[in-house]
Amino acid sequence: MATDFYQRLIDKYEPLTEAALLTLISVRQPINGADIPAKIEALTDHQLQLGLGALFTNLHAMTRDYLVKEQVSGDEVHTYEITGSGEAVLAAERERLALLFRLVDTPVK
Amino acid sequence: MRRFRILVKGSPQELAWLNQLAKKGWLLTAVHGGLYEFKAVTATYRVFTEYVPVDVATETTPQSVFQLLTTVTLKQPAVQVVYSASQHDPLKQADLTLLSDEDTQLKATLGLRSKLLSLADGWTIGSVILITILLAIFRGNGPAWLFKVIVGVWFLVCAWLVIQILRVHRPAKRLRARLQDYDGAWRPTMHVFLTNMSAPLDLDQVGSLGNWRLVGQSKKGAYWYDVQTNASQAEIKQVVQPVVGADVKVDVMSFLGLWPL
Repeated sequence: MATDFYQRLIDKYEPLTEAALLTLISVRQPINGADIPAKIEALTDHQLQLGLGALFTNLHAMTRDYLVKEQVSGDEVHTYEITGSGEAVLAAERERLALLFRLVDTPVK
Repeated sequence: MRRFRILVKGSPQELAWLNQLAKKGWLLTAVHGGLYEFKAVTATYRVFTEYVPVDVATETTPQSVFQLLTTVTLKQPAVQVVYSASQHDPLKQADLTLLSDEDTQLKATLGLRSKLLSLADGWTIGSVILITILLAIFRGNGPAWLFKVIVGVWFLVCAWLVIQILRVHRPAKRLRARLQDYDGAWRPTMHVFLTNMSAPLDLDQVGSLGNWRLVGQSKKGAYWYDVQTNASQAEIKQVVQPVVGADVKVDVMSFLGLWPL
């Protein structure tokens, strides 16, 4: 049952866009929404960054699909954290990317 | 500082203008219709614009790297335009993953053009009503200068509106061509006559040319189709002939009829 549920989400999100992947990776630990851009910057060594609109839209969609859970404290601080569903989607994306890497590394015959 | 500009919200032209002002130390704070408000800043910012669905909450603003400047909700299409800025050095030149959505940009451009066309209609109708009322009041004995002023103002505003409409129409045309999206656009109706056909034309195979419509057919295997397309007569013939086979005679008449002759 849970596998079917994960599979539906995987089918919906795969292949992950760069914005969705960065959003999911940045919330693997509970994080204040305000700190996500800085986290993405640190994770990617200043190489990649999302616009605010891309971040808002991805967080909104992923929260709605429960890939990410959102908690709002009394002082309106929004904290985000990945869920088991989010980890399942990430794991599926990891496998997909690994296959592509293997293909790229395969010597041309 | 306030500036009035008729620009497509979220368009590259608007973004370039906002960044130009940001370089001069003026950072956007609010947008009301065509009125843009700015505040003087000492730091240099890079401004970003993105289209975001209306149901996405944008008030939860991450303040660390980005600053949410303002949001504008468009009616046509129903979408929010998010204006953000960053004074963070690595982001000033970086390539960001932005929600660049040319489909939405086209809809926003067409929405603004339609609004401007309605404004031009309203202005013309309003002016005609005003002149009619004045003529009725003065019964033809009104001061000549008054009518000259009214007609002069009407003409100037019309000319300004036409310029604004053309400035919006050109990017709309470019976007339509790039996206191949001619939904709702006027396109010439070309008339295609096929003789010696054994079965109707398979429209799926020629659908890429435009919108096809069967106008009529004869018992002898002659078919007449109308196609709304940007393709020329020669291009239509080139696409249709291989589909119908060499035995079928393909004649295409321009939307101008016999006028070119």
